[in-house]
Amino acid sequence: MAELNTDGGGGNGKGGKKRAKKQSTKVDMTPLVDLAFLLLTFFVLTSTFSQPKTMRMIFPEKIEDDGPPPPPIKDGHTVLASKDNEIYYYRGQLDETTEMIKTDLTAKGLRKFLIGANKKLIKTLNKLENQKLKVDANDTAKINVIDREFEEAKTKDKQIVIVKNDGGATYKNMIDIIDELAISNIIYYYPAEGGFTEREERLVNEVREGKLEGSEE
Amino acid sequence: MTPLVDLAFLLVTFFMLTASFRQAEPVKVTPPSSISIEEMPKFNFATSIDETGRVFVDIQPSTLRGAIFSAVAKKLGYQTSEKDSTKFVGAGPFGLKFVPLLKYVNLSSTERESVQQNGIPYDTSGKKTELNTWIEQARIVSQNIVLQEEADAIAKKKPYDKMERFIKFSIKADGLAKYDQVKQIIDVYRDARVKKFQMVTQSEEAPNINLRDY
Repeated sequence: MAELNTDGGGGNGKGGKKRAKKQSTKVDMTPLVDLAFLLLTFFVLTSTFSQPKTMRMIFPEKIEDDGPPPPPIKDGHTVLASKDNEIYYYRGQLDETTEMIKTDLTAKGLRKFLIGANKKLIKTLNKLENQKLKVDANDTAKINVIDREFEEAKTKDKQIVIVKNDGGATYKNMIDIIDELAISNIIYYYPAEGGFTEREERLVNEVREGKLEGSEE
Repeated sequence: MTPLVDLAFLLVTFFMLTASFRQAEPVKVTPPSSISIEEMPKFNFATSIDETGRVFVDIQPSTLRGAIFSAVAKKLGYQTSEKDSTKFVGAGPFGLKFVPLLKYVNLSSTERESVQQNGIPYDTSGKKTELNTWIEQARIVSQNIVLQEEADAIAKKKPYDKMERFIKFSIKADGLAKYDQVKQIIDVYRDARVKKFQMVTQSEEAPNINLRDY
């Protein structure tokens, strides 16, 4: 390996027979190892293992101008995104008694409302999930029954959320809102076109000006 | 010592073969994060939208990329050679009009870096622009290839996953871009009859939800 040849060549000693110098057959491997580890370090540091992830988003067919307008969604909650990362929401249909509530995208903000609203479905889904874990993996009949119950629960206890923005919201705001919906197991949501309505605009402005204290219940 | 060297080279080989080098991107886009765990599609028409709304396109894999390039050239009425197509396949993401794009692909990779790219032109009022042509041709070319491959697979009695091989449209937009700006570009896709999108996000761990807290 890395030792030096110290036997001083073949011709020492007087009167001795001249012999061919005995060469060491060992190859110095240190540079090879250095190189190997250098390459190893390079590839470890430059390789990118994790591919970016994607989130599926489906937009409805574009509505032609002369076509009939889409039916308004009556039940459901509305989340509104505005400039400076401001998020508002209200429950149900917009009328005189509607309370516009200011919130944010932290775990205690919008998520609290959404999970609260969707509690029934989440409970059912958790229960079914546990049932499914207990079932033998080969028992397809039972698994099918549970899968059907999953689908039934999803339609029976569904919550609809409409997501609106007034042109001030960033792409990140919208993705964060949709992510919160995914976290709260809300499957039915619609990114609405055309910004806020007049009344929504007014209510949001009232909250902004502090006439109505936006408070969490 | 020898086992150590063996191991080192084994690891080197492993990393060398598994490494996928990130291509130089003409634009830096920082997407927001989500809890989604879907992988990037393999047959991908990738659109990047930067903060100012410039549109860059990258197409994977290379077979599809070359075919779409030729189809777009034909549709727009430009003459391109086999060489242009080959050059285009190795050129990475681009954000140029077709004529400058032809010049761009024939530059060396260092020269390409100094080219100022203004994004592929698009129109929000529904008028057909080059971005429309790219999207439409991508869809048509992909569909033709898939149908052809499916027919071949049926003739040879081999299984064929049609859905996986269709081109998917992924959108990677900067988190700081205005949503309306991104939406306008999505509307261009909807005009070209694309409705499903894969929004590229950085991954984030899903939070643990304890229902008692809510």
